[in-house]
Amino acid sequence: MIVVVNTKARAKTLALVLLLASGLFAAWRSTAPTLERARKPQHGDMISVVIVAEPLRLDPHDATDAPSALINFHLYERLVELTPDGEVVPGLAESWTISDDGTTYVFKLRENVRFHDGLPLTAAAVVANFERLLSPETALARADLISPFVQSAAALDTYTVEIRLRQPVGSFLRLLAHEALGIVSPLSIRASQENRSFRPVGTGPFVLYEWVPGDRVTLVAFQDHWRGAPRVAGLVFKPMPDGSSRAIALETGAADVAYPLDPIHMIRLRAFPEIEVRHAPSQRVIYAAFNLGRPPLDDVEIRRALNHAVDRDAIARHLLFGLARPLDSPVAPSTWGHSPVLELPYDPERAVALLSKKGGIHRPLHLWSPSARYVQDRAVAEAIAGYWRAVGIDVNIRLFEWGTYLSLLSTSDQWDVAVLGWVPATGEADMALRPIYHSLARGNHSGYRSAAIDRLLDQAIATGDARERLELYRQIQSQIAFDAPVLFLHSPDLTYGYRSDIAGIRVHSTEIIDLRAAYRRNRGG
Amino acid sequence: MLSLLRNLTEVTTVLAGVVLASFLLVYWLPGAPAELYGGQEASQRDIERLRQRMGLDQPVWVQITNYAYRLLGGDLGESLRSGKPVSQEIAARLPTTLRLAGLAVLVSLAIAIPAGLASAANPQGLASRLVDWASLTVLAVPVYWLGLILILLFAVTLRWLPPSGSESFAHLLLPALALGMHTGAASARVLQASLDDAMKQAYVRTAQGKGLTPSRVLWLHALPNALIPVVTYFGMEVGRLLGGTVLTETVFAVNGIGRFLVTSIAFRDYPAVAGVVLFIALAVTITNAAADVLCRLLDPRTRRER
Repeated sequence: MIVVVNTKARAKTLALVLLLASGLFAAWRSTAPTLERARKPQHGDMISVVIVAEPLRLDPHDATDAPSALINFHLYERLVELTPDGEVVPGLAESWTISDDGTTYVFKLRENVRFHDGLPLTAAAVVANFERLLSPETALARADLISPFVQSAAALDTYTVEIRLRQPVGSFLRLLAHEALGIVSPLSIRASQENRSFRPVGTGPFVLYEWVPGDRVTLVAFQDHWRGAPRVAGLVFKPMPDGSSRAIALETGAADVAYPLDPIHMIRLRAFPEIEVRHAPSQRVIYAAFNLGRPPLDDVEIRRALNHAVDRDAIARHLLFGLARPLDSPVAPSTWGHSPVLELPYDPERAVALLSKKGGIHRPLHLWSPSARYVQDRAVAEAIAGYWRAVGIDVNIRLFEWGTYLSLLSTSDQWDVAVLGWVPATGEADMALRPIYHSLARGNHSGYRSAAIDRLLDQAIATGDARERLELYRQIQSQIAFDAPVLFLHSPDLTYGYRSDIAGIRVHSTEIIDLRAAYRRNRGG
Repeated sequence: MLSLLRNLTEVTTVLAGVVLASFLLVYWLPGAPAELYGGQEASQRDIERLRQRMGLDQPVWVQITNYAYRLLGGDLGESLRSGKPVSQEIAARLPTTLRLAGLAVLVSLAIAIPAGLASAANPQGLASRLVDWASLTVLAVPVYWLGLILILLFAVTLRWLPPSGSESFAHLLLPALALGMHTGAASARVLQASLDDAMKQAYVRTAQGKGLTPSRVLWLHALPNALIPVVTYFGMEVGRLLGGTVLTETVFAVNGIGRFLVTSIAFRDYPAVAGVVLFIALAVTITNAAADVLCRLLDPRTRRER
């Protein structure tokens, strides 16, 4: 090898090295910004939590991603709250009355609640929150959560709020418990309206201490919380996109809590006495939408045959390591309003018979799936294709990055079957069904149009009586199961782990890990 | 003076091209930021509102013109994803990336120089073959796999170092080792070859003829000349280390601009992608331009007008 000795190159690289060195020097000296108000937390009684991604916005009314929902859940409180079991319980409102026609809700607020900035919680503050969401100027990402239903919000006195609805909404209380409807300090609202940056100030048990972009979000205990200060000094949330890294952080004690854990790591970490590994039912539903615009998928018997051909129990048991429940309805078993109505068991012979009755499928089916979006999504897509090939159908699989997938699903008509997931954030059947099966829903990728389903959904949401509503949801689920606009798959469990000296963690089936009552046990105690 | 002006025009053209290309490439990828931000829960109306707020309802040339106009005022715009100024997002992550890159350079030098010297001292010896074998192995192994093995060894089994994060010097050692081993292995081979070559040159024969000891010949005569290609190689690594440490940053949960670039692409965050790419391009061009100027000062032969 001949090396050309070149003084120009030498000088050039010298300059590069110098520049790098000076940058390095500057970098060592820089420090992270801090929020001046909050008390500096002590190291020992902080709980560190590793999660998949960094939150996008700590403004509940504008945040749409799961990490933001998780952190906002701890910073803010809502008028009513859901228990981990999905019961509606008082939150910032200690009691409420609903008018007989179901359109007027009057909430009595707790009188001893303060925001992190010292302001008291009043009816006017709550009204300001609703007006912010309803105002056409603010263009908040979560506006349509309430704007189709809420007519107006008014303060009747200092601690009484009246909310008027356009129509009765049976699930309204559960809607109010949505993380996106956290109550924000009026000062933060005013600041964001005056084009200054939004300050995440709520009434929750934790206060934002610092947010180092991409690295961590630190919350510290709110000493003046109406329930009394939490039992830990604070929570540190760290994004770690790689599943193995999350598991190792838990194993080595670098993190106290890891959420979620991949099934493969769950199994390995079970062996460690100092680590608790847990799983719990979630309300997430994994399904594959059939494209009803592409024959022969417009034929209900073909769709039923395709359902009969797939062994969803085996997928849940083997591919998801038993950490999933096969679906017995279009909604997950832990969702309010669930009815076990699905009658499409694994029966390849029946699938073959139905297919041959209809003359079979004489072209390859294009099965699309996102990659690395859902637990084992790739393996699940391959299993579906395998089952269909076993009944004589040719299948082409295509895997996509999530952003591309989401966009192509709505713009392309080249797909026959598309794997998707959905979590109803309010924990009840309307949110589980309407966004996927209503004719006008954006998430209705199948193109399923049923006037009966639309009417029943509208009737159910306007029904106040819980028993009547349950019966309506049973009918809806049964009809959808019969029409089979999708391939019903499974509901994956929430999977998480924590060090055994941590206690008081609860999980909500709406995929929130609740650390409000978490604490560290004394060693030896 | 004229050449300086020409240099400046060249640099500006390159940067403008880089910005335009990165903006358009992300724009033409299927996938829309408003949809990705709104998520599956957002209604069609929510999406429309978000598009408006992000300025995405405008034709693409209007968006680019607006962006360019702000850029001329030194404003990188706001991230579509976080709503924060892109410059702030980059500044928050840059120190970590610089620390990691700097440590990786130190690690690789610590590997390359002894390895290269050992093998050059006796080109047919055991050390030389060992270096050959080890550097090829390291180069053949993907960097994320190397990273996971390092984590298993030093963080899980030995518990010497934290497995991930970037809060302290100790946190950055493992990722720097993973990155540096790669660069180190590559540059050990470069050094090995160029030392081998230098040892055959006339000036080395002269030094040997003067009766100098073999180690003096190696250290004082061959090494300084043989180092130049290695240093050149490191110079080329600047761009890669600034933006291309993506895999390492993901495995070790290091919060640098490489990972920021990837999340921004996944979100189709055009201003953020264009901002990071512009920043890296700027860093590389400035170092090059500075080196050009320095060259004129140092080397009389390049001072003549072209």
